[in-house]
Amino acid sequence: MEDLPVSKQQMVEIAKALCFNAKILIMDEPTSSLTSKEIEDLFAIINSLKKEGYGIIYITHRLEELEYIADRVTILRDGRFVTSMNFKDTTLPEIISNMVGREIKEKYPRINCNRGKKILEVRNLNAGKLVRNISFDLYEGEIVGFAGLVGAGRTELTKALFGANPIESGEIILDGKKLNIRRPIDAINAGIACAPEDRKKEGLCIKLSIRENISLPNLDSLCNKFGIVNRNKEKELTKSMAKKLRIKMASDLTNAENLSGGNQQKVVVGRWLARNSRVVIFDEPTRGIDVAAKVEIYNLMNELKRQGIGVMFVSSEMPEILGISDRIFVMCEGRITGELDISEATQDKIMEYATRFEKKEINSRTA
Amino acid sequence: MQEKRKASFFKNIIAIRGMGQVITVSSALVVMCIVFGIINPNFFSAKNISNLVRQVAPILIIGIGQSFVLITGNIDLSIGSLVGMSCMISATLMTKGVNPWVSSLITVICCLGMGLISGLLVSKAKLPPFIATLGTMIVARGIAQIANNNYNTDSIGEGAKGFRNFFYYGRTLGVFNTIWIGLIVFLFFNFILSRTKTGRHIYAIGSNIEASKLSGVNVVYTTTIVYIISAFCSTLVGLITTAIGGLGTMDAGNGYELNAVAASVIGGVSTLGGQGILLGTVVGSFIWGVLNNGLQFAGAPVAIRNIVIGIVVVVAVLIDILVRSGKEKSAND
Repeated sequence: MEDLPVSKQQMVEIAKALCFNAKILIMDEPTSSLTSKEIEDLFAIINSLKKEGYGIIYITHRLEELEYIADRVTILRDGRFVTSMNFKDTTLPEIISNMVGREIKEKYPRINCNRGKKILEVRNLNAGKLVRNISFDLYEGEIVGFAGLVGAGRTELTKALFGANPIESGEIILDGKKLNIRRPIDAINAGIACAPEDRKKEGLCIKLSIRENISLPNLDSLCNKFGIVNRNKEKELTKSMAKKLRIKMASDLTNAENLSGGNQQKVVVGRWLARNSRVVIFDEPTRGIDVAAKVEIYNLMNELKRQGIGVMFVSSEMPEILGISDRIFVMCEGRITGELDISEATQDKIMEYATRFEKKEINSRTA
Repeated sequence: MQEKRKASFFKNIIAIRGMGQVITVSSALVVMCIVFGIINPNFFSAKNISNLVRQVAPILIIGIGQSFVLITGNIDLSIGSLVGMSCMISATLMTKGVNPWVSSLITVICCLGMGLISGLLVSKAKLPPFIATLGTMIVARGIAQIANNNYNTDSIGEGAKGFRNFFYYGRTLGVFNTIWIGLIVFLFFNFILSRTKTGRHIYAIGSNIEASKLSGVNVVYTTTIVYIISAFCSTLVGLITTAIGGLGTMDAGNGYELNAVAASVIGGVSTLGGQGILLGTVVGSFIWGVLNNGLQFAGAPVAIRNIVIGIVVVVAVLIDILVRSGKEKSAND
């Protein structure tokens, strides 16, 4: 099977389903890896299956495909049914509107700062399939949000900026200096810090103590020239970070795994605060943590913003992106598809940009 | 006031991660000693204790080397072969008339080179440690065999008397030199593991290699270093072996890697990485040593000793894995 191209693999899957006398066919994002010709073939098959009386549930974010195959459209949001309508009775903007519209019940702690000078300049960055020709700027005194669907490439972008994914081409310029980032240590030394998406797998050494976790990226400043760790300095660092971030722990020798999600996230972030970071990247920082801890993370981001440190904030929760950011970049399939100032940003606009997949020339035809 | 200071001193000791296990196995060690002492009161004679500790020192040294590798989440199967390679190279050179200290230096260079290869195979070529060190294990044993054209060496001669005394037969301040060497090795490497940046990196890699990378740890460097440390320890024990017998034997050190694993795991160093302290390895080595010595004293034949020790190794590793997986399961629930 692995010798077949993806489109043919899909054909095999469809054939397999049809062999079982299926009456209903469910297709989940089938066109993401197909060329336009292959998509044409697939739609032709779908249309002929429709004629033969099969029922097809077609799951997609690619709204431009609907006109070729959709008869009815059902919208789900946060695991709940929103609405269902005939495709020809509705418009794309109305569909988008139904996809978003989460009630923004919480008030987000937004602060206003004057925008300072440019900290980070990213030019034509390419790093694999999901980071394509990315260019953006980051200034002092602002929080820049990165919105988009899962798989849009936001995490891959943060990894490339942090040296965790290899960069193919492009420039990263920090405070006017061009950076050569090949490994995380290069980014760290340049002043870029990153709180990764999966804090248990990538952010923390879960079985080590809070103290060891906080000191790990700071060892250079805690050691003398022979590499011997100054234990008092280490204790002081942990104490001051714990106090600053209000990390609730029995003792700093407790293992990180015994902390709540919110406190774990504070440890992840706290590790970087001792360094003179110029840019701090937060990737889904409030995922899986309680409301009180979320607010503390927002306050932390605001504090960094106030200190003139650049904040990049990746999130899939639109309300919080709209609640905290000053500018929002929307990504789709590895490209930046939109830039919005907070004054003009709405959930609808973000979703529209987030579903702006690369236009493929599709001619509808019958099988 | 005095009471308070005493209490907080003990509290600080117990707070050291890994101490819990060390205290448990130390108690087991004490019980074992008492049992063997009851079976044969000569067990506690000064002569026997002195011999016992001298016998334990080499196991302690390779145990420390293996512990470094285990804490990073890897394993070194080449320890035994490196002991053999070190023994044969040093002995062969000495029988050819090379000064014992020069021979030792050359031996160290060759064996550290082997350790470097193991380290690079694991860290750069990304070979699974089991496979990589299986390879170096076989190659090193091969080198041990061709060092003297497939023969054990002749006696290293009278000129090596100083060498033999230094590593095994001599005493300093009434205590066997080997014991001093073991002590110095422990103090030195314990300092590196517990007080230096590299030591921190070693624990970090064993705990979570991804998070370590994203914290700026140079994983290639740190992984290679632990294999070099292990190779150094094996080399040292190889030289001690040469000193003991006064010649080189091709199958010296056979199976030592597993004794090293046993000592480490009994002492609380987990085969899954990120946990354990060298003090535990010391106690683990003593348990191995006391078992060996005690059984010998009780008159058990070699075969029985091997079986008992083999069972202890397997049980120790099994318990380690069960306890670790059990903890992880409850942490994830």
